[in-house]
Amino acid sequence: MGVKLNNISALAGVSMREMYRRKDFYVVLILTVILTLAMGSINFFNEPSVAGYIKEICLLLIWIFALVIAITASARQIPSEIENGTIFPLLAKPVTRTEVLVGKALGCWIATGVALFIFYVIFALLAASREHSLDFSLNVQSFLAHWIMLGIVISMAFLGSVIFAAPSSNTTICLVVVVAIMVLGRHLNRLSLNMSEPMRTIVQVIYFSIPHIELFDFRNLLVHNYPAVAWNKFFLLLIYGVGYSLIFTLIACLVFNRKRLR
Amino acid sequence: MKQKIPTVYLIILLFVLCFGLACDLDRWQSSSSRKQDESSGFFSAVLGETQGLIGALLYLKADVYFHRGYYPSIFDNTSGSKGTEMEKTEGHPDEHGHNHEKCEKDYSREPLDWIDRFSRSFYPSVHVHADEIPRGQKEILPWLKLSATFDPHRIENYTVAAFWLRSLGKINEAEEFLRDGLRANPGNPELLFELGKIYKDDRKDITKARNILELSLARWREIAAKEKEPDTFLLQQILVHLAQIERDQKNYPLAIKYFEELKKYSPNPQAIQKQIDEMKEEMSKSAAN
Repeated sequence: MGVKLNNISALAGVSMREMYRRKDFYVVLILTVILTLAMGSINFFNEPSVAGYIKEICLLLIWIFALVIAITASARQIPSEIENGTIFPLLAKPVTRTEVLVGKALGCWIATGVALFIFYVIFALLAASREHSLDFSLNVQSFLAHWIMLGIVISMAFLGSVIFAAPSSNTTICLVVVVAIMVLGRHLNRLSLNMSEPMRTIVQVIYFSIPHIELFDFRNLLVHNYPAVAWNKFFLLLIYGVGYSLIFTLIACLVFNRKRLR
Repeated sequence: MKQKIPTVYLIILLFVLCFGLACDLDRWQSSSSRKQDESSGFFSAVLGETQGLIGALLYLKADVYFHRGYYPSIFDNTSGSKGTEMEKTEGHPDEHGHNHEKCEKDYSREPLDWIDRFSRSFYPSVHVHADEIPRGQKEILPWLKLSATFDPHRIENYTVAAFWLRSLGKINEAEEFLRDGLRANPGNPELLFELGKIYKDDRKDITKARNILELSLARWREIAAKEKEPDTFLLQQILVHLAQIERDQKNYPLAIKYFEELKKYSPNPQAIQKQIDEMKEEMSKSAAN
């Protein structure tokens, strides 16, 4: 499973260019700006400095669109190569399957990160224009946490793409899993206390095994103007996220290396 | 070509059928909705019964903003709370006062595990109310207005928003919003009472305040006559304000009448009796002079 970094970066560049050629990002960016500005133009009791509801709507749109972009883009990378038969000339070159998968995943992650950065810049400008202040640290932390969370989701989608036959089923499963973790993840252990054995142990095992992507959601802190998170805890969170991304990517590489392509 | 003709006929037949059905449904819907509510607008036509649910969710969102995101989920046990904190305390704080130390949304508990402990650094885990930060209460207002747009018959939207607007010094906006509420809910005693308070406490227009509060009292009596368990809390508030107006205007007999009625419902009748006695004493003094 030896990897060459220049092969990975070349493959990442290819998948990034492919993502930017598609119009998905531009459409959702325009949609986010239009929807947010439309909401922002509503006059609530002649109080121009009200910002909470606009921040909330803008962040919700950013979260939904970033997730959709990340999952749909990642889920189709490997299956489309296999379906079009382009995987064979690609593998005929001096690149390994691991390099192909890691390169494509990295490309998706960086491209999504650039899109996310633009989203957060727009969000910060909007919030600052309303509140006349900006917590730079918390905005940076929110962006980084969100990007790392997307790393976990992208690696999950790549693992799904080498397991499931169709990208559509992989996309649906990934979306359902991510939403379920976001909603239930934090409460699973508490819920398990009211269950009887063996369900209790099963739920607890799930609770401690799943990547808690809800931890990366800083929306409430941003919307209600809380101070930035302590940096030592924030870096621990980033390590936690990178760890899960690596776990999913490694499993995906192992499965992809053993997969019969035809 | 031969096969296409029957298909075209089939499409025309289905179209005519759908058109006729749509016309019939439209007639039926407009007649039934007219019976239900004359005042409902665009949202009622589009959303139907769902608008009440959306209104309730938006009202809940306003409560989340009041607690600045520190809010229990459906999985967190709170001490059997009913309704929202905003409504129970902030709606009428001049009568109750808000006890910030004993908020019903307090769900703080020991962390169960390391994930639970670790996660508390990344979401609001300190209970602070919106009114504890400068002009923080303004963030609640958009949700209340949106809730009122979706469900114009939810009275709390108007009363709570009016209270916060008054606390921000936006008296005109508070009055305008209450009048919107009265247009959607004509003669509602709670809305009339809030409007009366604006005239009494903010505009200092005692004549108008008295008229509106008397109308509120009359409307309350009309509604209470039809109910098994009338809202005596609202009655107490109306009576207190009316009695205060009459006492300040030295119209003691009427003030005593209101206080006498209030005494029946008040948890502290001794304090009211004391006020009645004081006024009676004042009356006898002025009669002696």
